[in-house]
Amino acid sequence: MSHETARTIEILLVEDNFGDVRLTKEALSEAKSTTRLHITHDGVAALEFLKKEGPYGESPQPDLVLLDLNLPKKSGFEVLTQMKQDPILRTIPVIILTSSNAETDVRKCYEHHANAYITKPVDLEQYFGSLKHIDEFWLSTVRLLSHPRQ
Amino acid sequence: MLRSLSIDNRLTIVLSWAILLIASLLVWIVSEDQKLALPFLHAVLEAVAALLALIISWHSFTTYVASPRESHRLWVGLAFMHMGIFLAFHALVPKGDLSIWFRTCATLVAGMFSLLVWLPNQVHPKISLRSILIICMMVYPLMGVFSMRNQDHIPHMLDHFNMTWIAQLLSVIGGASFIGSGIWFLRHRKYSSHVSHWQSVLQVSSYTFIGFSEILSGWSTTWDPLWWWCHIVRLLSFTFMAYIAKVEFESGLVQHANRDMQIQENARFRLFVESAPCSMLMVEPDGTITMVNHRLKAMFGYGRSEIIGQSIQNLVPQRFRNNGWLIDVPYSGAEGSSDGSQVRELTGLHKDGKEFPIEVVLSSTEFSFGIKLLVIVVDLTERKRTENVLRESKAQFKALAEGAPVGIFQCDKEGFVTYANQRLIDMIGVTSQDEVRTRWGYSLHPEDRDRVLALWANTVKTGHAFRSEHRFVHADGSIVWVLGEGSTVHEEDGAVIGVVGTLTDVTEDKLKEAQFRLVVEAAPCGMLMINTEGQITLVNAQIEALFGYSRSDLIGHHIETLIPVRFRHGHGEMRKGFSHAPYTRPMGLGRYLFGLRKNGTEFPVEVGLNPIQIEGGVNVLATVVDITERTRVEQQLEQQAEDLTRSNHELEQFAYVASHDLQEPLRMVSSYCELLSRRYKGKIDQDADEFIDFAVDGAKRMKTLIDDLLTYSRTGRQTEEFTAIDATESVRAAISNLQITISEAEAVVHCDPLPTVMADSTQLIQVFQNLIGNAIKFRGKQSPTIRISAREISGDSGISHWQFSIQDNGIGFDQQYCDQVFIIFQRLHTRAEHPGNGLGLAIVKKIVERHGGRIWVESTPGIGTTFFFSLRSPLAANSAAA
Repeated sequence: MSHETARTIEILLVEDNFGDVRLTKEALSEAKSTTRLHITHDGVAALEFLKKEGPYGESPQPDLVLLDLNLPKKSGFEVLTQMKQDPILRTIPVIILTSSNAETDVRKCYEHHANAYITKPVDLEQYFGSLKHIDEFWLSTVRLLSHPRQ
Repeated sequence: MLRSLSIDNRLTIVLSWAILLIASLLVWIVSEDQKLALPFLHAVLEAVAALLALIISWHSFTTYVASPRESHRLWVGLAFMHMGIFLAFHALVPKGDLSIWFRTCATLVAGMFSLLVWLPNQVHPKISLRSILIICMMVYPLMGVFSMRNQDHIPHMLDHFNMTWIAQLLSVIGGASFIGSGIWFLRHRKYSSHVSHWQSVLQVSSYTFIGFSEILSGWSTTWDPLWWWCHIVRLLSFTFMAYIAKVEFESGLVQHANRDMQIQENARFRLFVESAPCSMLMVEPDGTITMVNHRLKAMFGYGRSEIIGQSIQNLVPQRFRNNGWLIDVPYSGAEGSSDGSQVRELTGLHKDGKEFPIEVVLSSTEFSFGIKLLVIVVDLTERKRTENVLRESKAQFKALAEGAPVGIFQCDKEGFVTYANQRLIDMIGVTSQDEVRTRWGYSLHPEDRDRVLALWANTVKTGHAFRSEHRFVHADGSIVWVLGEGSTVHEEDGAVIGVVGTLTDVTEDKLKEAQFRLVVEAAPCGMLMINTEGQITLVNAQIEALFGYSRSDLIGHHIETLIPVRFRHGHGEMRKGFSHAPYTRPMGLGRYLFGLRKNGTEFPVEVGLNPIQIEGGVNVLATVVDITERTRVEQQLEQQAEDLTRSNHELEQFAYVASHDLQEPLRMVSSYCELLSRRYKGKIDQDADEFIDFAVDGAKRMKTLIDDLLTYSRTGRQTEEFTAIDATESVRAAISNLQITISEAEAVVHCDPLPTVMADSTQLIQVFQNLIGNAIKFRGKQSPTIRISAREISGDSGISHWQFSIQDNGIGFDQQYCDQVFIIFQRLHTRAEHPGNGLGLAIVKKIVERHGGRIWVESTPGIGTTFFFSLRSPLAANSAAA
């Protein structure tokens, strides 16, 4: 628990729904870890951010990606696929955070090497609970790469 | 007897004895002491004598060869051959001992040979005459030469012109031998059939004179009168004997030739008798068999030696002997049949005791050796058997013909019936064979008469088979349909002599045919029949209406007339295929068939084919139905079904997308309502709190609704394979899912052992879960008790199903709502009484139906509700899949 306390964890949230973005922010604000949340609203922007292209030339390499599936321009699947094909980006854990609980979607995501799949709970308490679990596990328990390549 | 002598013979005898007397006189004239020494004359006399002796010898041999049974000629021939040869030596040697030696030897040996005539006729030398002659011809000259060479060793024969005692002894023996043989001839005057009485007398006297002259010559002195007398007498005797030998030889030749002919005749007779194909016997008048041919052995089993001398009665069985089957046979040709013979059929008796039928021809003939009965016997066994076979086959034919279920007739070429069986007589209705003989032509139906008679005439003329279907008018006035078939009977040269044939009653067939036509005509669909060539032989009114042709347009035409041109090509092949495997079936499976109307338009048809076996092959009865209207309706239905499927699919798609996409905004609403409640509850005012609660509750219900809708729409879309599922496991899973609800309601679930069924595991759990949940939700005042069980039900088609039941003790409902409860969004209670959105049972129903099952409910208000649903057992599912 104590080993990375000083570091600020960079999280990229790819979500087109502003309501969800806000809810996620609210939830993470209650988290114990020190996090910095970066947000892109579509798949194309997400990839640009990850590859530091276009307006995101100065963006940091995120430690974790929270990826919605249903995105404008480029779907979450495509983002996931391209990330996992990229030798640098594939090291970043991707957690799918979507409203779909279709079995086919779940299967497809894991086939493309998603690291976790979470269906957005409709209930607020549960939603907050889910993000609390992410904080406790992915941001506190799991050891992430200390120095992601730049 | 004297008359039988010829002039010549008597003259010869007289002359010869006259000469003998003259010679004796000469001897007396010349005195005893007178000696007439004429050696030359002596030599000539002896030479002539030798020649005569050889002539006698030759004739004797020749006659002997002709009739070898009379062996005396052999001995006479040998004697005179010897005599001739030694006399020749005697003539060559005129004087001395040697001369006398030759002469006495000649007399002695010839005498000895002559004596052999006393031997019985059967005695013959074993070697052939030819060999004897060859030996003699070699031995005698050698002996002569030998004697001449060794004169010193010859006994002393002559002593001063007188004979020594040796010479005298030899002369006496030789002469006596001649006399001895003369006695044989005297005793056997009929020794030869060739010589007459007088000639035999001459023969005997010649032998006697030779004998005496030889004896006397022993006491004569050379050149004295007695000496000369002896020579002359001997010469004379030789002359007579030569004459007789010649006569015998000539008549012997004639007789020999006659006998040859007789032998040939006999042989021919024998051949004729032996080669006859029947037994032939010659029988004495008293019945003794004297001659048989070899056929008798084969017929009666007796060999020639066994039966000759036996009575002919042995050839018939004992019981017929008393009847005297031969007694009244006429022994003279004057009686009996015209040629003097009698023919009878009798029974023969074989040696082995077997009896057999015979035919006997008896005739009597008078031969030189008496009256003989000639019997010819023919074995009738084979003939009798043939007759029996013929009789039997006639009887068989009759029995067959009379027992036959068809009329059978036989008639001459004029059409007069020579035979008709009872069936035919009954069929036409005449009373007898005689009547059918002339009446059958008149019994023909007037409308058919000319046709049938013309056909008949043609058959008799050409020899072609007769075949006609026509009517007879029965004597009782009814009409009889018959099928007449006949073929001509020919002579060897091919001329028709008559007709044999059958008449088959086809009245019933005709009736059936008429009925058949009626049925076809009355059929509500088009019907037509085609023959093996594809020609239309029958159509009904429906066909006329369907195709626009009249009946006469179609009968006899090819079926392809009714088929559109583009389909005609393969039709012939298909018809062939049908005739190879004729069974009832629809035509053109899997293809659309079209008919072609007279006006050229086409219309869709359905054709059924039925093979009909009739004479001449398999015909096809086809039913034709115009399916224009049906095709249109079918197409419409198909279109509608397709539309429906698509619309259903779209609806499902819509429901899914809608419910899925509804989740997103719903989540926003519910989430922020909750956030509001969380942050601001009790901070604004009481109204605000209440508003927020309503909003949160509404959002929650909507979430449930959308979840259920999503489940419902997914139910039809999922395509999970059905597997064998233990239903007990599914119930257990459902109970586990409902754990909280059950414990809250303090519900008890009893589950009987449940079977294994074919199902989608998840959906089966859902079914039990919804139904158990339902039972708890609608519980009454007492704690809910739920009983789950299953039993096997045998279906109509033999496929068994499992029928599940879920029984509760809840509030129940009126049975009138039993269908309504399964309808989506239909509810029987207000949300306040029993929360729910009306989707639970709809989902259950959809799942059960997707599994090929059925669901229904029985309920009584206040008592409880039982849901039933059926599912296939794995076995049934397998057999259904197979």
